[in-house]
Amino acid sequence: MVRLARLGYFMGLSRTGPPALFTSESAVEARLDRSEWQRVYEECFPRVFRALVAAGARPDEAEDALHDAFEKALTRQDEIVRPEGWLFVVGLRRWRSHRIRSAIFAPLSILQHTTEMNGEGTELLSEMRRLPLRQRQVLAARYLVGLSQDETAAALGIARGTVAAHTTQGLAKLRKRLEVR
Amino acid sequence: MNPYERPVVDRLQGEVAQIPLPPRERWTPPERHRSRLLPALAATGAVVALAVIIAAPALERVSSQGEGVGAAGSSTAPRAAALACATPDQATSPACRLITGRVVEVLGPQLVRVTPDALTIAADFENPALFEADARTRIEPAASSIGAAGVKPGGRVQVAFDPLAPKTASGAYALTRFVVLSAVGAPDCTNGTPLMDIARFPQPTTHGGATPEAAFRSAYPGIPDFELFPYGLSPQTPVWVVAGTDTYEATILQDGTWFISPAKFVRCISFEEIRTFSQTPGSSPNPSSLRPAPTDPPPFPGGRAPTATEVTEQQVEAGMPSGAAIFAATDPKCVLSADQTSFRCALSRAPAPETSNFLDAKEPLAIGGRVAGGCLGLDRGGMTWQCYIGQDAVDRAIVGQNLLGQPAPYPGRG
Repeated sequence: MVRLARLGYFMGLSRTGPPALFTSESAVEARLDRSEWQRVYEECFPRVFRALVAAGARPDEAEDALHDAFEKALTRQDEIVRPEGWLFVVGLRRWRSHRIRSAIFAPLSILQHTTEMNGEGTELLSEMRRLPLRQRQVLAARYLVGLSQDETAAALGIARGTVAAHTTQGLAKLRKRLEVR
Repeated sequence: MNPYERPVVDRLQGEVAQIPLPPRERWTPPERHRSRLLPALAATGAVVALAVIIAAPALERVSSQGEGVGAAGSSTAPRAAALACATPDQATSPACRLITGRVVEVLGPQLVRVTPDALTIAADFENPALFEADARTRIEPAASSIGAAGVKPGGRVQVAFDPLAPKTASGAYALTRFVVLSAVGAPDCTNGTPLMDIARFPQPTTHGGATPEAAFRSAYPGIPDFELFPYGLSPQTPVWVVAGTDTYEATILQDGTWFISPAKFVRCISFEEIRTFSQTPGSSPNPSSLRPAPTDPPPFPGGRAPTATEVTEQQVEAGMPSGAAIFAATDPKCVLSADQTSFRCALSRAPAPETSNFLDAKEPLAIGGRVAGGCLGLDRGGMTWQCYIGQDAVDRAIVGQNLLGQPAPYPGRG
């Protein structure tokens, strides 16, 4: 129960907690309760799922990646703070590793085809998918998941200044492409 | 975020909000009950499966050798072919069509070499053709194996097989039916005469036994049990001798004594073929030995055996089965070595299981009807060979100096 109380605190369920994405506090021995984690996870799911798709994952890939992240959380011994950020980062990694494995066995043309976003009202999203991966990740973390610059930097393991630079460059490219269209 | 970026972000968020979500029940994965041992078990299973895939052909061959040559059920395809005769309405299928022939050799409990009586049929397959039975082969009269059926070389049999089915590991046609008409007897050929592979010939000074039986007992005192089958009613006609799976022929000499030689029935040859041999200049048919003397092939250009650079890969591929009977139907593929001194040949099917270990086995190679070199076995299974041409084969003691360039009208045995 101590664990769940701390979890709620760090997950932002209690809005009085510190804003840090990951904590350096000592691990709690008890594991996450599945039903409690499921509730938190489902609150985050829509935002993180869409962020992953915006970052380039196919919907089925995003779904699988989030399922993996859900399971991974149940095996963790340390705390998870800002679960949406944690889910996004873990999901990104799962999707990327899955995509790399798939690229070995699947024709490249299939992958290129399936990452296209074709639909009414998704022009900017399509343009975002043409950005470099790091810029996509930063933009998705910042504006779709809702992480701050510090949280994004911690989550992606890059410097805060790098987050700022990618954010500015990515948005500038999107705006420029939007104006051209 | 500056004022120029806000519209972009707002629009991006608006578009992302349109991304459809999966059904709610799919958000959370179903509860897994995965054991920590599962990855290890999966990896172990993969390794075992890989080992089975790699080792299966080898195990198959080991199994075949263990049960005698060409054991039953060496592959699934022949089993499928055998099943084609399971029901009466399937009995008319090509896989069940009975072909009459003579047993040439019994190579093992389930492996037999048979020559079809009909030349038209024989021409379509190897002659004699190698057949293999398995557990599903219908053997008549009922027996557990060809060997148990008691059929001997010269025996009259009927075979049924699917010529389109994959061959067995021994390179044999998979038998669907094997009917023993007469288990033992002298080879006889309708509209022709048996072609025999005689191992020894009498010298002018040779004196044999008073009778075929006496000659055999004298020549082979260690073989007490044998049967004699005269080719005809005349007291001077040659006699076919069957001792187990070995066969011999007794011929009468000019002094009235009998000479014994190991002999193998090769196939039936028609009288027309004999006439062709007789009319060919330089040929010397020898009816008494029942072996037609074929026309000598033309000598090698320049009067010497060729070298590796003077023959093609196709000639070597054809020369292997021409030189040695074990390569029949093995479909060799040869490649000239980088130093252009030899050919590396890989067989598509295993050679006839003449021995359990083909490593360092030596077999002659015939090109243009003459011994042009020899091949050295590179593995126990006999699937890979290094073939040397001309003097190189002699230098490596694969063929003798006296054999090089000699006519090789028939594939060698033994």
